[in-house]
Amino acid sequence: MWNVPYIVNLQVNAHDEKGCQYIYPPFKPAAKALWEQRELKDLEKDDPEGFCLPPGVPRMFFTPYPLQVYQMPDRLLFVYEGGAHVWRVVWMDGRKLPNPDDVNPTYLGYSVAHWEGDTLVIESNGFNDRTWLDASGHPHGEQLKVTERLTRTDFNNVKIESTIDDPEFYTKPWTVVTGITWAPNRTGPFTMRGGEILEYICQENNRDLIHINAVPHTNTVR
Amino acid sequence: MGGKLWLIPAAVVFLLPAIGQVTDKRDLGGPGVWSLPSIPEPSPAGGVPFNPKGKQVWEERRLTKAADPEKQCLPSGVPRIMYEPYSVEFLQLPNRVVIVYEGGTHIFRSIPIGTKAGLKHPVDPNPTYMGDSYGWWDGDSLMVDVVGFNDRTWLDASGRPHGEKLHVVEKFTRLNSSKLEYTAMIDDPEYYTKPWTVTMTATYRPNDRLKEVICQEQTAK
Repeated sequence: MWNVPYIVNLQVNAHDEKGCQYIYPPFKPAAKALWEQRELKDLEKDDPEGFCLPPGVPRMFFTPYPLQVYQMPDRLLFVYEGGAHVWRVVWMDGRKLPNPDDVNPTYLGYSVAHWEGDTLVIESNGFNDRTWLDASGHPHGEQLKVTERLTRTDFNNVKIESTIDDPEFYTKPWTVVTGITWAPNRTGPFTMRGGEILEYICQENNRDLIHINAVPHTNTVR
Repeated sequence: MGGKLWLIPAAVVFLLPAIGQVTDKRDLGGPGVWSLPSIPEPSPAGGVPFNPKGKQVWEERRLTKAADPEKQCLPSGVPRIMYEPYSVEFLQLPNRVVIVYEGGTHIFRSIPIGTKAGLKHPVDPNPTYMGDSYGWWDGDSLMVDVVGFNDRTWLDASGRPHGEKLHVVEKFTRLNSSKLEYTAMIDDPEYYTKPWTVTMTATYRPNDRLKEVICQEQTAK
């Protein structure tokens, strides 16, 4: 399985098309205000992932639960231990991305991929606007298009370059570089069975959010 | 002319098997999804063999209208997830079958496939909602042996209970291109006097795809 890092604020890993690091991603003013509200004023309390909703794309790669990838002739299937224990399908049968207006907006979007040399290029759209790009609250809307370029740089590492293109919130596309690392037949407290991911059900233990959240609401599990 | 009308039903009878056939009954896939039925309260032949404790818990849940764990967006568990009205796909890899579910929290089961003789589970598995599965092929039927459950799911919407000793043996049989027969033998000596079986038939929906049903969405703010 692959180990996934925990990345709270994508700004640390963000750069422009020339490779220059950003202090801030290329926010539009309203996006910057929204991010400051979520991160600096509300201290991330409204993070949808805290309500056990799927982290979305590309945040599945920054949410620290292991994942497995199953490769089939017509598709890839990502399965995730945490982050709502969901699956994500990436079509590899040559189909094109849909017109986003033609698909029901979803948390994980609609994904197609192709190989460019040894790099897997996953393109996704069709997202809803209910996820955050990271725990610090970088926003996106339904116009979001994500391109993830996965390169296995050596046996134990996959470099992931995620380009975020959302003209509603950002003046131009921006890219974050992260990675996942291979965990061979790991045994230990979190993965008892070698090489298999475990079952983490966020909804089971979602009890404390109502206490740290200033706004009362109905919680999932009492 | 009327004398030739008998040819029409004869042709239909002759063609019907051809329509329903699949070349490989071990192929549970295709360009579409399996639509599952909704069975809130399965009624096995001969009734449900509750023991006194099982009957008591079941009746308490019905009388007090106890909250169904599924309403809290927890996973449905096995076998219940196979008779909740969402669609599924079976993705077959060389040594593994992955069942991906549209509903039931958009969850998946990843089932290693071996031989019946090689059946094994972890010695002391961490109890989970979906249990620890191991599968093998018996003729054209996929058999899956599941143990290692927690006691936090219900076997159906009516609240039939189970504990951590639950043992489920599932059998998936593709009858033809459009029907999949499913039986699950439920064995839990803590709540039942003997094993009992639930049955359902899934229907193939060609050219459909799984949707993204996120139960938590309704209960989150």
